[in-house]
Amino acid sequence: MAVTFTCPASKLVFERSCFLHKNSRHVTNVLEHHFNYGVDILIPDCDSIPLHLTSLMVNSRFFLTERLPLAILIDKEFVEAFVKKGKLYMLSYGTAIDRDNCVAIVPPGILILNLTKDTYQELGLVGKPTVFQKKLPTKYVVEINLTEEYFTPGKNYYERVKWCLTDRLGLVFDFLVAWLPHEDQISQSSVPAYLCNKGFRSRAFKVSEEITFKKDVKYPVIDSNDFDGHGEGGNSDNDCPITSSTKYDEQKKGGTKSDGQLKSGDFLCSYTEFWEWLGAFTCGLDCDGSPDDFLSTFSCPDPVSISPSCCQCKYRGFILPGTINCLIESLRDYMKSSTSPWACVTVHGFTDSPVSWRRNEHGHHKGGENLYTFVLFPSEDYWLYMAVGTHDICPP
Amino acid sequence: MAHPCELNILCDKNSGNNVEDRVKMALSLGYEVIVMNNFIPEFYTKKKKKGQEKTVPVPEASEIKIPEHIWKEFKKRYKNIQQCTRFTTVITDAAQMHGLTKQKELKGYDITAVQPTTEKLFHNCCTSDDVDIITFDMTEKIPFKIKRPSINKALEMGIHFELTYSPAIRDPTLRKHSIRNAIKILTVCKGKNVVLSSGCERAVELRGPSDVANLGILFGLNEAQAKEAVSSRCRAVLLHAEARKTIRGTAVMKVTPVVDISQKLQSSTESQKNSLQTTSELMPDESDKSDCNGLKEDRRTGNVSESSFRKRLHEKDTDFQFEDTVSSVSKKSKTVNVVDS
Amino acid sequence: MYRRIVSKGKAEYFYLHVTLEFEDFEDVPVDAIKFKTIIVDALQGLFGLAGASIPADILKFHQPKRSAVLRVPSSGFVKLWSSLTLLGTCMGRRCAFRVHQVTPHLMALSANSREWQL
Repeated sequence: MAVTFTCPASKLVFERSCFLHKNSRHVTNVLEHHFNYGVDILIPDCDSIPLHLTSLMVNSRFFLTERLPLAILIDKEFVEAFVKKGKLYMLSYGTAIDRDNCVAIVPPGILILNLTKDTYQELGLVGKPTVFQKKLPTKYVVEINLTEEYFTPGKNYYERVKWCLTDRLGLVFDFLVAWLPHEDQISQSSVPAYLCNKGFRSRAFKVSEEITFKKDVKYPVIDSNDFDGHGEGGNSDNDCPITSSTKYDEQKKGGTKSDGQLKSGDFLCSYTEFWEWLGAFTCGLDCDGSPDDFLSTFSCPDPVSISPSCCQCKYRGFILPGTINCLIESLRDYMKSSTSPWACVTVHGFTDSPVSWRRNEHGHHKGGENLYTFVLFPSEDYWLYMAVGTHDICPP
Repeated sequence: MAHPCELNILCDKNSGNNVEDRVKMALSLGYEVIVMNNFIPEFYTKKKKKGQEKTVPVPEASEIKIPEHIWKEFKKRYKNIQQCTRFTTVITDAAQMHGLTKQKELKGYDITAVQPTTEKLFHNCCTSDDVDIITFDMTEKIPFKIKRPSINKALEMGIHFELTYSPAIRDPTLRKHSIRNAIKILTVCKGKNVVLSSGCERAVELRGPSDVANLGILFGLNEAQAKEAVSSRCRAVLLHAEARKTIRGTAVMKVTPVVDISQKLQSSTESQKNSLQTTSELMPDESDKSDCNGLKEDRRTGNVSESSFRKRLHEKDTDFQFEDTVSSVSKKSKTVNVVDS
Repeated sequence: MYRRIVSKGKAEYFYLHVTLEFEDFEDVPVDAIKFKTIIVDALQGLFGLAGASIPADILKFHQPKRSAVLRVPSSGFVKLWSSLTLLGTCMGRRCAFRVHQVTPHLMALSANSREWQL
């Protein structure tokens, strides 16, 4: 008998739904994923990407504030001016979630301290041990709601927190800062301006962009209804009578007839195969392997279609969930008028973010994955993949 | 993986001059605690005829450390790094155990590790007060049987077992011995109190913390234990060593430097008041702050009972249970204030 | 219409991003075929023929840096990783495999926020 070793578990959630459905949760799924490091867009059969899509991403800014002590963040002035008057996103920069203390602020004003055991024990604030190591926790999570009414100077709890965070343990971090004010007139850069007044230097950054067009790309054929790849398109339609818009179906049928590639009963690409292919393509791998190849047996899942021009955009930075939501809305509009069979938006969360979705704790076991992918179809259906690291709590 | 630790950077005479290279490599791989290991196989011999004792001169701990100016350079690039020293010797005679306490120079070393050669000596090591790590020669078969009672004793004492992986990288034959030895040890101690370290002679033989953790799975640890074997278990070794020393003297006072941002926070008078205080901390063992409390009380009454302290320490060392951490920490802060005033 | 599928536990494949380093950062030319041979030899060296039969695919190979993205079925993941770890010499030179990232989701390899420099 072969010896087998346990390997880390993986967590992948797949959802199929429709943007038009009243219970569709795509907006909350996007907005609740707070800390986004990168966005990858992939649109096949597209030779020019609309400007309003790209400008949306490129125009978003964020700041890096250096050596900011935590006591500043609970300052009443700061809380009143920024935390309560908009959506404030802050994430400690250059800290590893599995080694260091990590700090984040997520809307609506929750300060999350993910602390090492040493710091936690010296700090003296009540928190919970990490959910990942039940037996011998090495990390502890303290959550402080900054907007709570009782969290105000003069009250015991506030003074306690203030005393704990001030001076003693040298809790000083570099922070990525982005702020979305409730009122449009206020500038986003008021946060760094305020911090600058207090004597902390900030630098502004723009989201980096990289757009490439690839010629003659082989891509797998997928059907929004037929996600498990049984090729029973008709049956699944019967199962789901609500299916709206048949534009793509018609296209597919038209294509089927002319190409003669697809016969009814053929297996289409399933959602897992597509996920792997999408990953491979995004990483820039060549998918030309054959099952008997010496180097690689990986190939583009059958049946394939060839796209004359494929558009791939990469954005890296500290990207707000709101921006991504707008991007998806504009892509939905774009899909209505384009000939592309689908479009993908992949959003990578920060490996070292203390939270994944909502306030679910995020950790790092062998890898700190927290990412999601939307596959948009012209019929307003969508597929959503959500992947998290081994021990993480399943996405909502 | 909190504070990944490399417990074994050999720096005796035979291991060449590339110590700096190896430390640099270890830091770049993500280790935060580097332990410089001075391996002297025979440092203490007792002449049978005349009954005279003879010791081999052991270099001071500071001599094997990375020089301060180089370490400062490293510190600029990597934060939270720490270097420690360790002394390792082979035990071939029960009298050598005695030598461990006698030698003055050894007190300068942070960690003491021994490599017993017979079953009897192994048992002696497991019950010794002066040992932090029991190590094995992974280049050949372990020449004795490892018995459960000895291991139990060692677990009780908070002594850790070290498995070195670099022989397994060096040569296929050594690899066979290494894996066999590792499995042999792990089946007896069930993966408890095991640390994985390199014992490398060259920088290229070092592996990253997660690589080593994965190697632990190959040796028969489970995933959680494998991760601990390069992180929290190593920390336990350092704390054990620290506690072992402090128990001979008195409690150590550590003054934490105060980050002065009071000017920047003038809106609050409260913070200014706090910044004027020098925060000091008792730290006889860092593993458990709640112990500070107990120890302090003991000191006040004037009887630091060694055995009770040690017992408490080992309880903490082996299972790190802090049920009322917060309450004890707040108590601690009170005692700190008392010290201040 | 709405479907939700949650897959937990063993993934089908694992992906590793690795680099082959030689001692003293020596620049030894290695091509993809040689790279694969080194990996198979490493597996065989530790696990024998049963190990050599683990299908490790090289999805991408970057020759100048000798870095690659490997794919391996999860049953062979620990075996592949430990063989790579324990490989000490190849082509008569001392070498080491550095594993940068491992993940059950290939997509996760396309962005690594830990290597992000501002």
